[in-house]
Amino acid sequence: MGSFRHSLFAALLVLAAGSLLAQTLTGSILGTVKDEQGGAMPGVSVTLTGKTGARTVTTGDDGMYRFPLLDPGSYEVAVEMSGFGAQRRTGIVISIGKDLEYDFTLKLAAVTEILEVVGEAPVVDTTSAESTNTLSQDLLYNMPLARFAPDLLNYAPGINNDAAFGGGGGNNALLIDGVDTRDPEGGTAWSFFNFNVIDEVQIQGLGAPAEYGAYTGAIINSVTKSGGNSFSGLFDANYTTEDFSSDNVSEGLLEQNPTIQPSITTGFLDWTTQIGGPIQKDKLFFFASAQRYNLKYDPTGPRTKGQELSHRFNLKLSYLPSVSDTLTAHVEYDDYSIRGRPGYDNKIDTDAQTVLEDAPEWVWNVQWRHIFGQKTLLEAKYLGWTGYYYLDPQTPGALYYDGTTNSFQTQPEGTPFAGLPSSNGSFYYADRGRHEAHASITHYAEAFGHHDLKFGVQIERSKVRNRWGYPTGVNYYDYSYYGYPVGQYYAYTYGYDVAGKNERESVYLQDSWKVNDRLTINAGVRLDRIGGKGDRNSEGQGKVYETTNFAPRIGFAWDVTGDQKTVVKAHYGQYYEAALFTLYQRALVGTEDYVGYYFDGETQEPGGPPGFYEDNRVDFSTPYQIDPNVKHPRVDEFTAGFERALSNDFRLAVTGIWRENKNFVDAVLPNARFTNATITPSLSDNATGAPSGPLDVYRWENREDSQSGGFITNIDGWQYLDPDGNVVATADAFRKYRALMVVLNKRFTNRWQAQASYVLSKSEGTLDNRGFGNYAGISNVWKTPNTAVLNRDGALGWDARHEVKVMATYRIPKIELGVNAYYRFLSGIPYNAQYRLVSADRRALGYASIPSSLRTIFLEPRGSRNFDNQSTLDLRVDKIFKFGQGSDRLSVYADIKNVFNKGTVDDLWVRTETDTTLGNAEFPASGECPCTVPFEGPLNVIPGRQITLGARWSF
Amino acid sequence: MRQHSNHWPRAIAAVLALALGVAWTAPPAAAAESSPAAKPKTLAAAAEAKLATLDTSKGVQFAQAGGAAGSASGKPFFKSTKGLAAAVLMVGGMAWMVASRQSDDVVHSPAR
Repeated sequence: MGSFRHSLFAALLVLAAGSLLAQTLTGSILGTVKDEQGGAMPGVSVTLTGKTGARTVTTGDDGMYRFPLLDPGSYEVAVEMSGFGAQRRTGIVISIGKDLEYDFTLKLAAVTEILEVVGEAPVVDTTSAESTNTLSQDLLYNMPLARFAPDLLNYAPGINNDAAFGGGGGNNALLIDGVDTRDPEGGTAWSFFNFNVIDEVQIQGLGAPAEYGAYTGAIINSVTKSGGNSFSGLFDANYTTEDFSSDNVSEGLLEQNPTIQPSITTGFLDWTTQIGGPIQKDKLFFFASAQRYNLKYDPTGPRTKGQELSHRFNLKLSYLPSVSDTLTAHVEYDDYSIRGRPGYDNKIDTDAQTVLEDAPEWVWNVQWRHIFGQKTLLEAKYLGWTGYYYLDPQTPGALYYDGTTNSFQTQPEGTPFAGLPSSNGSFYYADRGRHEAHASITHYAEAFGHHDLKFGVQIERSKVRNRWGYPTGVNYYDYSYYGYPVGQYYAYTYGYDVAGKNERESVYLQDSWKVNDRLTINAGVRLDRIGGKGDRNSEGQGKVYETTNFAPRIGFAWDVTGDQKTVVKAHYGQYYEAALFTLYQRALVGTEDYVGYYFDGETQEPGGPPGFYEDNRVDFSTPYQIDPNVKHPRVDEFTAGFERALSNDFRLAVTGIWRENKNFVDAVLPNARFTNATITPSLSDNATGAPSGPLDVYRWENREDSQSGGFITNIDGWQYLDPDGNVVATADAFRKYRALMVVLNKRFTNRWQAQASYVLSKSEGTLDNRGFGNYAGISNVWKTPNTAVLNRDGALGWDARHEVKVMATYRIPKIELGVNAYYRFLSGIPYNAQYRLVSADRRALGYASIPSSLRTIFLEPRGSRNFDNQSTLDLRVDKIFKFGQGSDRLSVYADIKNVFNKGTVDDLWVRTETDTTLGNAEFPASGECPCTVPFEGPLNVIPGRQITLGARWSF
Repeated sequence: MRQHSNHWPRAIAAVLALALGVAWTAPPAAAAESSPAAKPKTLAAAAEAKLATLDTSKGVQFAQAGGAAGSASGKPFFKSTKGLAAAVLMVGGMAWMVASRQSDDVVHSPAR
């Protein structure tokens, strides 16, 4: 079977050679021209006019015309034929991936007569099984939204904190002009584009056709602005200061945790300047943008200052050498950097313990579109980005942890650290790059109806290099804090330098088959080969991860009433995750052993600090093995629903969603053996309300003989054995998502617009949907049944059972004052009591201290408790002054985030063991703070009310 | 060790300035607009002419497509008051951003 798939894959690649597009960024306008008797009219001249000029086609024998590959924007279509009255339809607005159909009926009339109609698009798409949400320019420009493009997906129904439809934060495809800007390591956002360069955003992922893949969450498909025949410009400035911030942390919360001072924006200036227009009319256009973003803040916790600073530059050129060809090139440079980023834990770090982030990047995109007549289209693009983010300690080489004062100190005289090149601050260097080539051919065919066929290929090569360590290679402790005599110093060495290359080749074939005027079938197949191999120092390892994945898609849309007002749709599809470095990282060489040392003042171990002798060693250097039959993570999805046009402006959409993740990949220890055991957790006096009493757990019988290396495989069904080979526990790796999503849209007419949604959902499983989304071979969770099985089944971290989101705009007449509101309600997200095994437990259960992630177990089923409900309201009030030719607008506005200054707690202390200072026993916070937080005590509060002022001139 | 380079933003600024310069001096768009306004002979031409003066913004959208290539007075865009103001803001803003990049104390890792 494997060879057949490879053969099939090779054959499809050969077929694809010579054509190189992929994700749809354009829309089209099509229709039929008829006479008064309903007869098709061939030879009618149809002219499309948009911002880059006019294009004329002639209707075919069936009276049909089509304008494909249209960028989002406003258009008008005019038809004329000698002896008939001409007609023109204006104000046609094209969105990403939308095909708008406009038919014309010509009447015999005088030549000079022109019938003009405003071309409102139907609010319901009756030809697609996909469920999408569009953030149009109306919303992007008027709502008090986030300032970075990747954050926009969180305004869509069913998506919060990047967790989309049950998925994790690393499972979303973040496409900007088709460039996947995700980190190829774990899939999280990497590139933070200027919000102001975005023309339109479409949130997709439910029922997506075969051209979309490499995600298991959602797709944020953004298109950047471009130049046209008319000059356009935007000059936008946002400003705030500490005086516009509000304190929303109550005295009661401060009593429980004195470190959660409010997070205050101390200064903010975001300035964008951009202009676009023609270099040569109808031929060559430019768009240029520059941004300076400077955010200063005093975060919650012991830190007192932080700064995000960025200068971003965009340049886009569009060239139309003929009416059939479009060439586009876009490049972005960004020098994003941060000061005051948490180095160890944002809840306990002092300023001295923070790190500096240097994170510049280049993003590029070159694409060519060609139209062969009206029926065949070619799209090809080369895209990618390169960048890095380096974290260096704010205080390099000068700190060690002093247990006597519970603080990090400079190297003291008279201690074994004096004169040693030591540091507690670690560095982390991440280098990234992505190259992708996409190509597709679209063909419109007639056979038992209309077909919109699309065949495409995508090739990806991404690179990842991760380096972590201490600047001098050593970390020191003064263990007197733990009751050891003064002079009982400890040190350890650890670090890694691992590099790899992700590989992906994808081929897809899809059809939108319009069987008749009412029924459209969306079918497709997608084949992905996803691999990973070592690079740089681990290059010799060759390919370590290899999967071939076949993903079918099938759906339908049925126009129930035949008037484009009611559609019933359903879709089934399989979606495989992107190529991610985390899946195979631990199979590469480059990780050092953890080696612990104690001080005797005399010994010099090879590679160790002077005066220290080796006490213990944990093997991290042996590469893991990967299951040769490993299957790539995917989600199976079924959606069904209906959409109804309540009027020409109102749309109601109801969608049921069923998703199930499969093929979770992680590491296990094949030789580890366990027996049943019981412990009585040693709970802190502050752990009031936490489950107590004996707990059935598992003792690791042969840790020293089995902890080396690891085996990366599909973890579902993995059996944990006792020394006799009997099964003591079985892994049940799953994640399910069920939801009912109701969305009501009202487009901008009569001075107001709105999008209101309600999502009832249930997200459950044994793998959380916070963070990467747990497609990670780097986790330690599945190495023991204590962390893999015990109480792991339940509601996931981003399972907000009820979600309400409302975006609304109203423009007050006469004074042209706009009120724009964004409201979000989330029912309490789940959490549960956790317990980190104390020393006595670890001895009883055969554990080592390292790695620490093996030591935290659940005291009760996942998601047994819930945070308080979250409810926030953001407002924008704007005043627009129109002048010039009508397109000039000067706008001044004020954004008010968290209008009611709510002090909602969004992070809690959930640990219960004794000696639970904030952080953990090994890393208390600064000496000024006792930082003992009770179980369920607050760790973070959402930002308080913040007012930001803005001004914008656009034309 | 590779030193962090600051010349790329300057290169972008130079390219941008060049593009602006070309746009400023390239007359076709504005020249075409500044010719005597003959009555359009075809509907397509009429449509195009209409679009040039069309307020294509819907709602309160700040669309890229609005406005004409030249000013209402027929001057090339960058010789109109609006064009001049836009050019000053664009070039001035760009220059400030590039200059501020030197003084903004952007983090540079010692490892680069």
